[in-house]
Amino acid sequence: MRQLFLIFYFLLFTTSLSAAPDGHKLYTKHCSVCHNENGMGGIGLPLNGEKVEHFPRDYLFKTVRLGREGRVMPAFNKLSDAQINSIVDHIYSWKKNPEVDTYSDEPVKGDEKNGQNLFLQKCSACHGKDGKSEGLGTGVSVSRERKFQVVPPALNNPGFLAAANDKWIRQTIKTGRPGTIMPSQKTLQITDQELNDIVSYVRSFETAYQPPKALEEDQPTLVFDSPYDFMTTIANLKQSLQGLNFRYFPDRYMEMGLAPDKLINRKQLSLRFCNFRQLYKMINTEPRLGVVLPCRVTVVEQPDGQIKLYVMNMKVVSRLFNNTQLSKTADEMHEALMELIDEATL
Amino acid sequence: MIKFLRYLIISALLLSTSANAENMIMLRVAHSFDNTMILVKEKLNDYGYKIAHIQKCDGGLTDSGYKTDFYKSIFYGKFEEMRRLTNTHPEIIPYVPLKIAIMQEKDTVVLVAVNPETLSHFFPDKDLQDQFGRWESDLRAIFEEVHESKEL
Repeated sequence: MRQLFLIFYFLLFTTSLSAAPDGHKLYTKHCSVCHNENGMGGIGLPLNGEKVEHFPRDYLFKTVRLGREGRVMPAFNKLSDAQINSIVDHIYSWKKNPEVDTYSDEPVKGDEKNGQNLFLQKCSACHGKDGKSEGLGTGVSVSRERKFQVVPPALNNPGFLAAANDKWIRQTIKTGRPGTIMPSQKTLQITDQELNDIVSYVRSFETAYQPPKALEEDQPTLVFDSPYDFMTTIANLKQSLQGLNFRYFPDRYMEMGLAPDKLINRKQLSLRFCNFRQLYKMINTEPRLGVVLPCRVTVVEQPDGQIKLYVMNMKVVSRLFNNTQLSKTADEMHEALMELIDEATL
Repeated sequence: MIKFLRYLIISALLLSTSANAENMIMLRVAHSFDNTMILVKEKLNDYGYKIAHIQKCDGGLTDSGYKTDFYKSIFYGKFEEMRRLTNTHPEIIPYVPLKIAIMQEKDTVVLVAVNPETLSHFFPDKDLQDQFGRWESDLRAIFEEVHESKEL
């Protein structure tokens, strides 16, 4: 009987072990596409190497849980605590120093006003005057040329401020970030009190936080009527595109490539266009943008002869990327599209 | 105590307002760029999709004097679906054919697509929900198979 109990407990123990979340698998599934399988970064920041050697567990845990609003990194709110902890374990397996850094939640007291002055002098060139990071995009520059090899983190970000406590921010400024351009307190030539002042200023971003406005009642597709016939509408669009410095690509019927030529509806034509200077900026800001490119207006002749124009609403679609910088550029692009439609259908 | 409360409030706000992680379906593979393109095209065909065309974003950028790594978009779809949907729900026109963006990042390749399920938030019409679900299921299976495929 006792042997049976022993077997039962052994099975119970091994089952619970095998049920523990597999951090490597979870990392591969949820993180590797942005941070790379080996943690060297890409769309996301590097997680492997001396740059992140001193990341506290709590900081990593909260970063995964809360994400970085407007900075691509999503909030993984469907993962359990155990799953996130196992991902953190996996990231920690890359650490050279097995010791885990911990920092108390005790606030650092300093002079915010002086901290602001110092921040503008010493930090804003990388972290931005408003603390929302300088330079385009996120992560590591691997595919295109950008101002920073590793984009400096946005400090004025609710996710960062909730994840990083004062003591750790202080320590990061004190030692700098080896392997990056983040200098140490010594290089910055600031006193301990001035260091505290900067931390206080960074913390003050928290009180100014405004949650993003909910998406307006905007439609994902914008539909316009053209008073002109099919061919004239297309000609007008092309003329306007040239005037607005867009380069347009060869005409494509919507069904081209999907069916034999004789079956294709020739009353649905997509006019595709691009401004490559703008595109380069946008792809540097958000490399995944290709999923909604190129810009296009589709001209459709209805059975009753009415001409309609269909356009993707970039203001709505850009919100899918969790990238505030992209949203701003997309708003500009939206204005340009509206100007195009206005001119072509006037 | 105040700091803890502040953390709780910000956490609640972030968890309620943050973008859904699943707005995009993404995959990183260690294949070469050309082989990834071939694999994606093969798998799309296996699932009954046709390649409408391939947009060479990298070509346009390079021609305009900008330095970029490989970056292309594959447009794909099924003729019957396209014909039916653009007739019954023309508001979906800007979102079809579907797209997969494929980009080189050093020695790996990243594949990204808008999760078709996301379109159900844009177009809540009941008739479309099954279609979006099928597209999502196919896309996940295709990405999985590309991930599992050996280098050609």
